[in-house]
Amino acid sequence: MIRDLPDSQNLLETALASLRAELLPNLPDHARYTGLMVANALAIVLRDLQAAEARRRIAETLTGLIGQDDAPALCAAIDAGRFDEPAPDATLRQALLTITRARLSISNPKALG
Amino acid sequence: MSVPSLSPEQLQALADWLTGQAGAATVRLADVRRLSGGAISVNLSMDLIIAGGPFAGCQPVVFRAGSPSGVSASLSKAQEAAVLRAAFDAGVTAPEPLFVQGDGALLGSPFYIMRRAGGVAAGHRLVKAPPSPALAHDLGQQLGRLHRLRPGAPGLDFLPLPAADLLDDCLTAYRGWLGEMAGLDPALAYGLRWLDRRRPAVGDLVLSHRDYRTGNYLVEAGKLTAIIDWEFAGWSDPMEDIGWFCAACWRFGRRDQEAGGIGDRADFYAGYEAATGRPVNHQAVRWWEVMAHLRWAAIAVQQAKRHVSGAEHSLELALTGRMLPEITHDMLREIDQMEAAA
Repeated sequence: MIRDLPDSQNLLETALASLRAELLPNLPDHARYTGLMVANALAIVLRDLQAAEARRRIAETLTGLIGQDDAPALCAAIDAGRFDEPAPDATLRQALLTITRARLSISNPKALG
Repeated sequence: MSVPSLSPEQLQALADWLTGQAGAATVRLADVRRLSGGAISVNLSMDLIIAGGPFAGCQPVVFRAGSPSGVSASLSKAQEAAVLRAAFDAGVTAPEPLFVQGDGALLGSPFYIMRRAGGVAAGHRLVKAPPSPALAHDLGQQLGRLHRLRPGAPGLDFLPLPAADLLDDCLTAYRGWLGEMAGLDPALAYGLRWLDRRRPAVGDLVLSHRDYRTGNYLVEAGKLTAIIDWEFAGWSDPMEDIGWFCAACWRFGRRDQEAGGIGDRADFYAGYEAATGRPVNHQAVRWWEVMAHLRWAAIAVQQAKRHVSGAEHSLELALTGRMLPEITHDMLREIDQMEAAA
């Protein structure tokens, strides 16, 4: 494999830094909201490129619940009532909080607080 | 912006039509400006300069028309105007609708024109002001006034009554809006299951705003000037609007201010109880707060699909789809608190 230099993560980081430092402060009012949305979108993609650990945690948590890294299978088990009793319900809820926090670390880490 | 504004020819046609509607000698449209926040509707601010007739003078108004791709469950513009009329007549601080064009013959889509109120609606700005017991109380009172309207109220026959079971209706609708996501995202599957298992008692049906939250009312100098965005109105359990208003996802970061990020839950409830003479069912409101998160998640999925399907390319809609983890996180925390307290 031929490596690109810089890699995509570096390229995106650099683009985002330029957007924040040089473009956003100079945007007219009517374009500012769009500018902030673009910065937000790029930041999500950047965090997604660095999210191996979050993905590993999600897979591990799913496997702990139903023996496989399979979100649709977990949905089906929930629908079928397999977690309705108080103890499995509590275990499931804590696991879903873990999974959701891992996803939030990509989409909006500020909301983790 | 994907929804086109009005062309000069359309503005002229509107002025001519208004001249007849207002029984005026002439109507001129001045200071026509596009208003933000129109994900579903085209909103234009304008001043009607009216000569002659009962509306003579300068009338600050908002023109509101539907967008090409509506969202499930939203009312037509003529229906929305009828709800606004009923709310206004019931003493709710809602903008008075003045002129309604219901068949779309004039401009291609139905529209109505209502009085324009001053003030700020943006949630992230309103929650920066010091918490206001008076505003929370007033917003509770306004909702109580709206909830005095029951099925059979004049002018609202077009609003469908829920099937035998309101909660079944809601859960089925939101499951439908989520589509395949309900089977792919375990947090959504869990929310649906939990809501189904923990149903509260349902109260008498009342006219409900169904998007009653910070962001959908205007405040000027600390005072409420108008409750807006009535397109989801319908008959529902009175606790639904209260739960939607108080849900963590609509506090704009001010989690400690449980009434919409602007005040205390107790003040909001007190205003509501003063207007209705009926107590708030605290447990049921909490359930509806969980439901609020599920519904907001379902709306976010729909908005994302509008973008992804190509029906309406929009960065804003795309980013709304990526808000799902945040919404379900709040929902799970809410369920967790309720289960801990049970």
